[in-house]
Amino acid sequence: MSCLRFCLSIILVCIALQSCVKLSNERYNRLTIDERRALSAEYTQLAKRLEMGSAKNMQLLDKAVRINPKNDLAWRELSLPYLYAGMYEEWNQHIVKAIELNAQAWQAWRGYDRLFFFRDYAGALFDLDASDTLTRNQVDYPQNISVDYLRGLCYFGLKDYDKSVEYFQSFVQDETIKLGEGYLDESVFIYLGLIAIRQNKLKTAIGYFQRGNKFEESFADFNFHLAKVYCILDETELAQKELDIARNKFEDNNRLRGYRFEAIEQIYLSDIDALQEQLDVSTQLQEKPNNQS
Amino acid sequence: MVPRITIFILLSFFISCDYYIVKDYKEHVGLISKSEESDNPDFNPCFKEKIFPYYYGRQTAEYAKGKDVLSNYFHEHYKNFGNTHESGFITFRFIINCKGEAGNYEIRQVGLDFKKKSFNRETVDYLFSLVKTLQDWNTVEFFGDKYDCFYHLTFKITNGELLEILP
Repeated sequence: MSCLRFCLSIILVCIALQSCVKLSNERYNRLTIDERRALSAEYTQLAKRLEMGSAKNMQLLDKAVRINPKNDLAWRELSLPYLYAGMYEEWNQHIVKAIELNAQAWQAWRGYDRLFFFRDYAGALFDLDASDTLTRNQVDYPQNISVDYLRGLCYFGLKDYDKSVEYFQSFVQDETIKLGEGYLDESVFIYLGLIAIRQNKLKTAIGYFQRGNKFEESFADFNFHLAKVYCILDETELAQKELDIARNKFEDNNRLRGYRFEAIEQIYLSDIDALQEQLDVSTQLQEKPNNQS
Repeated sequence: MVPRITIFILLSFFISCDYYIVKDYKEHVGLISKSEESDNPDFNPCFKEKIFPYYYGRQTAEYAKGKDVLSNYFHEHYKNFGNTHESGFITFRFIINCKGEAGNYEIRQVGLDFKKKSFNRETVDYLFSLVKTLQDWNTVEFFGDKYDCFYHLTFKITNGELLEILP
């Protein structure tokens, strides 16, 4: 009887343990370091074929870092679903690990994440500057965006407009030489134009917005900001013309927006409506003296 | 009570078979299976079997009246109850069902160093009450069909001041 009770209790404990935790007995000690590195890389690539953040995807990435704890790519891939889901503590734990293993590859990417997902301009700048010192004489491209452009955005957020213009101009010059102006990220002219408005250089602002507007599928933002500048200059007809174009482009979804986050200085329909109201008032005021005379 | 000898035998068994505990990912990262906070008991997802991340689909999920309206609403109503020393991120994660209703809330609080912290309870409860009033959401859509998704609103607070509403 006591023996039966003893066996039953072992079975019960086994079942309890099995349901609470996941057990594995896979060991990779017999593999060489190179073999472990290769196997871990294979599991990482396999994980990338699956839906990011899914149970299977995470299990494979977790396995990849068990096989090779120095697999920085797997650590980085583990961090992303947490970032997108708003689980920042877990994101930070994984991305810090990736950076510790390979700062050259991932620090600029964390800068990108800090800039767009947290609006942490100073923190992003720290990462972007650090990544630049690691790769001298080379412009980095985290998330396929020039590090100079990103630094320009950071200084824009910190309201250091002179430094911002310096980096944006460096980006424009560099990309124009490498690829040609037609392949530039035209949103740079939105920010250059906004800085010019804030520095009261309205003619310069118009120049930037018109330059950005030359691109084939230019954003509603260019026309909207042009309308704003014309409003300030009391050129109501030009302002109305640009605002109408802006509204049409906006309704066609042809505007600056982020993916998974709000773009910096993103415009909304309410902004267009507010400017239209302002324009209507200006037009009425202009018409009043004409009627009275 | 399981005798100590049983535990010893069990541990010896597992060690000899070379078992170790690994992380068990049972569902998609970000899925909220149960709400930890007081919630509307009538809220239900349309399809419990699949809840998408908010950024899926041609149009990502968002507040129906626009982020600008959302932002103005919180900046207008936010109160710090005199706590001017707190900084960090308060995140409300929730599910938006196919009808555009929100529920199943989860609250997470981290400091600017992304380590777990606790903000003043009054501030958190007040923000939560504001978030719960928002019930008109655009959920993820595929070819005209609407599905459930999980979403989050993060409030970036610096020295008690509400700076940003993310993402």
